[in-house]
Amino acid sequence: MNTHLDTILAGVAEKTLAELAFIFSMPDDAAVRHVYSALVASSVDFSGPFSGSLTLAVSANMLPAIASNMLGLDEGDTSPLPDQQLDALKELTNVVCGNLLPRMAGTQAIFRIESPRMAEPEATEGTDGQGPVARTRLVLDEGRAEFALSISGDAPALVQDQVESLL
Amino acid sequence: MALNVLIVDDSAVMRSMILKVLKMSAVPLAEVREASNGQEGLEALSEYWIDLVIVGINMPVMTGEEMIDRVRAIPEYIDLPVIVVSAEGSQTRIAKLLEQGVKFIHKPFSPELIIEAIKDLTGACNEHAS
Repeated sequence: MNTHLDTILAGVAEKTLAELAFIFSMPDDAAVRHVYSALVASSVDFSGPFSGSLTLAVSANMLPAIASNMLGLDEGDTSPLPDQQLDALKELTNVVCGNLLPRMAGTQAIFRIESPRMAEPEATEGTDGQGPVARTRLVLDEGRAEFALSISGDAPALVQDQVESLL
Repeated sequence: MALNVLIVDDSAVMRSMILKVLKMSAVPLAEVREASNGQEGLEALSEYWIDLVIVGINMPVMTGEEMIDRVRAIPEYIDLPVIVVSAEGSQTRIAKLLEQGVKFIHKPFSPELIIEAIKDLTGACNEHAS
């Protein structure tokens, strides 16, 4: 795992959660990390200078709040429908991915980002037998969010070069 | 003039967010139509009079980029106001879009950015700008 990439991923994830869903995170704390166990996940695949996927797994009990905040629903409004909750999760994943890639590869790089899809929470452990190259866990008010970036092929060397140029 | 707006995005939540911004704003609205990809967006454009398009980029079936290319190839839509709302971070890609005369708004966005872009492109809600 790459510490620099973890830091970049954490920064983008925190900022996106706050600005898009008005969900604010706290420093990770092992004491509360495992309190919330049921996770729902979505992934988005990308290809370009390097290819891979970003997965976001979030505590299932957070989904209504995330969707409500994104939709701007007020107290007393009908709760978001299950489809809206999952769509909100996928949109969050998409926006984090879109903001993360230029931080890694520079703003001239062009990536193709596929439509986000639902995924198994275990996808945060990596794909195709490979562990993620970056991972971060954010503790939320009533749950947690885990982000994992997996990259295929020999891309990690490229990523490292790009990250060093940013630091 | 009340605007006929077309919102094109594969995320229903994102379409709802944009619609909410439009309703909160002083933008006078006529009809607001939605499409979930560029192809559906083009079909809506061929069927209805549209004054403003708000479109994402990465969508299945047809991307926002391709939709804009095709829209601009239609003489009557050369000057159609288009706002792109996307998490796209490639300046290369954004520059190409800007050459098409669109406004680009990066996700996550504030409602004010969208309202400002509408005002700049259409002149709508100028009377409420103070």
